[in-house]
Amino acid sequence: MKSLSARLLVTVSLLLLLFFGLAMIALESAFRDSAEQAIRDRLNVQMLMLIAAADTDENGRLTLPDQLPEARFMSPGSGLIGQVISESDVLEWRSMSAVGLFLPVEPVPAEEGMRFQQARTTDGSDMFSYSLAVEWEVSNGETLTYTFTVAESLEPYRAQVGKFRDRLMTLFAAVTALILASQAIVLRWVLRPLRQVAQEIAEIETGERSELSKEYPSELQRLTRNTNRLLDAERKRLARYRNTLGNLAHSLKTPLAIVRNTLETNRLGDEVESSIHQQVDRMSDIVGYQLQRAAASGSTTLGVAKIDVREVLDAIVESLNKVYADKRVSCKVTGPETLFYRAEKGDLMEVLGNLLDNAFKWCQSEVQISLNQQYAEGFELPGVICVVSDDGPGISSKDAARVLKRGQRADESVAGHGIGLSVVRELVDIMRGTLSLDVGEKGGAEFTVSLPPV
Amino acid sequence: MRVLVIEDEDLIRESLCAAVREAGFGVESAADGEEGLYFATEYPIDIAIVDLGLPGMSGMDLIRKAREAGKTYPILILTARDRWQDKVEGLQAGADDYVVKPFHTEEVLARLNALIRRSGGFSEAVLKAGSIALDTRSQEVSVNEQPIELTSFEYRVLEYLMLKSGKVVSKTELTESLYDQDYERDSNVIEVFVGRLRKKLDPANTLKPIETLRGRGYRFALTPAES
Repeated sequence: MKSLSARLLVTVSLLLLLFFGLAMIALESAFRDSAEQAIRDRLNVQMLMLIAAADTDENGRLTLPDQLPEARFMSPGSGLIGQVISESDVLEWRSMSAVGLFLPVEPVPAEEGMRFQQARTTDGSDMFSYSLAVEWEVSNGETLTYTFTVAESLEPYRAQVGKFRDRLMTLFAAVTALILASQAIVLRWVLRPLRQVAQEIAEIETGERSELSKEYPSELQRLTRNTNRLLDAERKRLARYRNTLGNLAHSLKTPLAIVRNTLETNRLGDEVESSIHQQVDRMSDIVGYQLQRAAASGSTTLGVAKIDVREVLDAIVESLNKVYADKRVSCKVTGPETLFYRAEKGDLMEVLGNLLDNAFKWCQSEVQISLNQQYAEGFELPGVICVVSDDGPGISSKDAARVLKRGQRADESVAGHGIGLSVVRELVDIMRGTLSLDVGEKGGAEFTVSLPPV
Repeated sequence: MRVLVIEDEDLIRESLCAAVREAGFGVESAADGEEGLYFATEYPIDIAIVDLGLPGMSGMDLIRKAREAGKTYPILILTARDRWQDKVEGLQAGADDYVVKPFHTEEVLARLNALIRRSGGFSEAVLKAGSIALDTRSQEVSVNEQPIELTSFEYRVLEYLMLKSGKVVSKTELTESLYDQDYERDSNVIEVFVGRLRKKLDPANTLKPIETLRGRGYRFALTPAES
């Protein structure tokens, strides 16, 4: 069973059913017992009355008067009948209420004394009957055994039991409904922290929150504490990983720097030198490119945060203005003052940094950057479209195709555009965006990066 | 001009120092962040080359601390980490330019010269002030477009004063910029150089490019021309 609520609902329902079922049986049987006892007591009284009214006639036979103190004996269909049979099952007397009926009762032997049973009359109605063996002394000193029987209709008893059962059922149904309803309310209340955990984890995924909050019930604290610990460990691992990659770049490139320096101080002849320089450049590019790819987070959600694209863009422009100070590039950024997007900051910087550096490097004196957002329904943040153009020589369509081709390796990248654009293309792919290259208004290259809404 | 080189890799530091010295600069060097910061804040430095991956204190922290200490000289960073995040962070921490390892020594020197020029208010490789033009690449000086013959020392005195134009440069500072640390210093030599320089630049004594501030030093009085 997948749902906790369903589990609880089914369990509680089954328990209630079992409990109420057993309670019904116990209560009904107790009720029946007491009702039957009441009937016995009543029949006993009628019996004593009947025996008291009995007499012996002149023939020495047992007789009963027509008028009896209990009126119900005298009215047909009253539900109370009386009869007397002899030892040989001969009907000696029956009450007026029993006219037209026959109650099949066996004579009770004197040794047995009494019998309490249910019997069915000839007209099909069920009755409780109480039979008592009475030894009757007749005039000649002889003793005859008669069986006195009083019987009462079962109908009132059944109606009573039925009514009792109905009431009980109504009560139990009401209690069950109440319990299930309050259980649903309690469940909502009890499960609220779980819904909150789910909500908070979703927020962590989108980078709006860094860890689960602390105010959880004690039962959940172990879960939330461990989750926080896991997140923290994972973040530290990611940071350590990036750091290690950075150190790796450092330790791979330092020997290359030494090779280059050594070469510069010990002349080996132009041909050898240029060949070694070329290979050093190539190795350095490959190291940079591969580590760049490894550091690109993309797939992990932990490094992703809500960042202001405009702020990142401005920081890069400011940095490039410093680096290309002599060139006096006029760089214009148009678009919203703040534009939030969800990405890994390093990856976004890499994309924008490489594109802008490219533009600053190749431009005559002008770089245009336009930032736009693209709203889409069902997403929290709009997509980002960034167009970077310059007034430089532009990129030929042949080179453009190579620059933008998927799966192109760093050492195959177009001369002059370094590994930068390969990295941009890869990162844009990881971010599920697109990169395109056109000829801009000023005749230079115009790169367009579109990142989808998130 | 005194250049501070902070680089932990001995071979790179030594060859870089040699190249910088050969290019006519005075050099201080440090192999770790702590030592580097000491030089960066306590020594008269005109420009620093800082490797970002330093043991002890990271290059980034060193730059921040030097800037916090009020040091405004240009800083060139060397970095093996070519992620833009690192570069931008370094530039925002206070560096002015970067070179990615493995670098060509000429490139470092070119950036070094450009930064020094820029810090003196000159945006081109040819420093122009009034009718004086000094080409930092060919090391040629001209007045009113007439080339002037200068000795290496004279050239360096003029270059230094021009790059510090508007600022008072003491004799000690000028001496230190010409010789390496342990060279015997004689302020009379400087007076002689400055005297010869004045005669060569301004034989008619009308331009008065170099002022003498008694007891304080010299000042290049012409303002850099906007290009």
